[in-house]
Amino acid sequence: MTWPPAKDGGRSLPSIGNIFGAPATVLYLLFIGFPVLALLIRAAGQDGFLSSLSSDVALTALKLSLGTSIISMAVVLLIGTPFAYLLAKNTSIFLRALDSLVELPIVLPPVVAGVAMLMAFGRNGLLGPPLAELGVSLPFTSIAVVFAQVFVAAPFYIRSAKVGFQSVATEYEDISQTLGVSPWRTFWQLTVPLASPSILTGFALAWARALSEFGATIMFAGNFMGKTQTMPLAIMTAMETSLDTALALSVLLLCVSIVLLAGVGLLARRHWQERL
Amino acid sequence: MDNIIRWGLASLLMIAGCASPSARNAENFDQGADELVVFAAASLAEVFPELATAFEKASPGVSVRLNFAGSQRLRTQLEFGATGDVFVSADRRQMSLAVDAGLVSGDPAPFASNSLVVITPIAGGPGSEKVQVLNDLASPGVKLALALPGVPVGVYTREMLGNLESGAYDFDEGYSQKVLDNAATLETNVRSVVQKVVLGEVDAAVVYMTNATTGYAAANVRTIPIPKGANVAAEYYAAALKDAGNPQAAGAFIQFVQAEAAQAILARHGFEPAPANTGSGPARRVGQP
Repeated sequence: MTWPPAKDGGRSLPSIGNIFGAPATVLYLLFIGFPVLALLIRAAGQDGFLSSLSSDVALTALKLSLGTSIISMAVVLLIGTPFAYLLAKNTSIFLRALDSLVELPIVLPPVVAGVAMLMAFGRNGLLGPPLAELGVSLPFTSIAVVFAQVFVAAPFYIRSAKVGFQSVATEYEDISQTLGVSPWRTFWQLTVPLASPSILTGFALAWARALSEFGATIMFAGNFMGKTQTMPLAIMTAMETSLDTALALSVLLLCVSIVLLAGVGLLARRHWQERL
Repeated sequence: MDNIIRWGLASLLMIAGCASPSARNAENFDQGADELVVFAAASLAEVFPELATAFEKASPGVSVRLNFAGSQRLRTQLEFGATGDVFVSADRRQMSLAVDAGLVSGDPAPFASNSLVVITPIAGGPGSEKVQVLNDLASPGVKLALALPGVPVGVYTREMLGNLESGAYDFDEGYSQKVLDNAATLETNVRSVVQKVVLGEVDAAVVYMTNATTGYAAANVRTIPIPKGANVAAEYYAAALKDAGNPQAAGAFIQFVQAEAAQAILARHGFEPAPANTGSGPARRVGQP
């Protein structure tokens, strides 16, 4: 050993990492993995598993969950992307304050989000009467489901996309524009590709959150099969009557979420590699 | 700076969440020596706190903790290992399922009954005019909040609608189905059903008489009575749980709810005494012995 340690002397750190990290990792994996495994074992062990999976309740809920969450994610992308870009590039005090409020829906209990939306868009809410005059009633509709999902999921995307945009040095964008590339093309062909790993990660997290949204939905959209009964609500409803159906639905939602996270994860990794 | 604001906000909200009474009641089941944990049907949420206080006064040293939810959810919680001393169900079915699952020790004791009523938002609010009489429940475009078919009040509601349709009243064929089709939401307990009407989000709902005439909702809803012959008697049963950590207090509590003092409290909250004859299925028509 020489002193001062060589620049790569940091190599000794991984061994400390191993000593504490390995048991912690095993413990954590058991903690998360065991319940998930238990769910799978119990679900696979029952006779009616496949028929539960293909039951009317399950398919209707899955269809509704996918449909509403896709619309929600379209809204999140459309609104969230320019907003995240502004947050990343603009340093005014107003936006810095706004920045810390973006995550409010993450820390807000979802039920509170549901109550808040009832107070805003419900029949007796602040916007209720004017909406009613237009013949629009939001509660207990699939649109209410989308509202709830956007409300709780958007911050995950905006936060991540903002970090992505921040990682793109403004100099690059300036250079691109001095070379005569339009701001619009610069955004699409330089900024977005460079920020895409973060954007994709945020997108996946937000989508998973939208799929699992429960508290705000049951408060604001109610629980009705085919209209507002998304997968999590169907699981809760089934739990009250038949554990078998609840288990099958849980496994289904688990698989959809894993496919989603893994798929987007792969995409993001590819983009990272392209970037390097 | 961002982070300070963020964490400050987060911790504030968490504190607010932890301090709410429902969190205290429902999420913490670990039992102390003199604690009596009662799993009670959601429709008892207005009366049981008062009953519990009276019981605590009568049996010094025992403190009662209440966990309210739909009876079917309480039963599921117990089946999956939640520990409590007493299970109080709003219908015979959930209680007999609990008996079948081997959760209960001794015979369940009927101690009160309840009936159904239709409620609508108070006059003036949106939707308050849509349902004036029982027939309006089946009108196109009416929005109802009902309970899921597995929830006691949901079972009673469907039975009552069937009684209305088949009885000597002026309801068209298919009335019951039309009403069910008007449900905008199917809730997991009666309190959520009431809440939808209080908020004015639905035009009407079917709940227990006690929900409509006492407590918070009383000032915020109007009621439409259901003919006696078509109404059903919801029966409340209390039973000690096999795994009770405090079986003596559990037994005492079940005695207590049947005794005069508790019956007076229940009556004040609009409950009726337990039907004398309880051997005729999950629910009887009121007025038909």
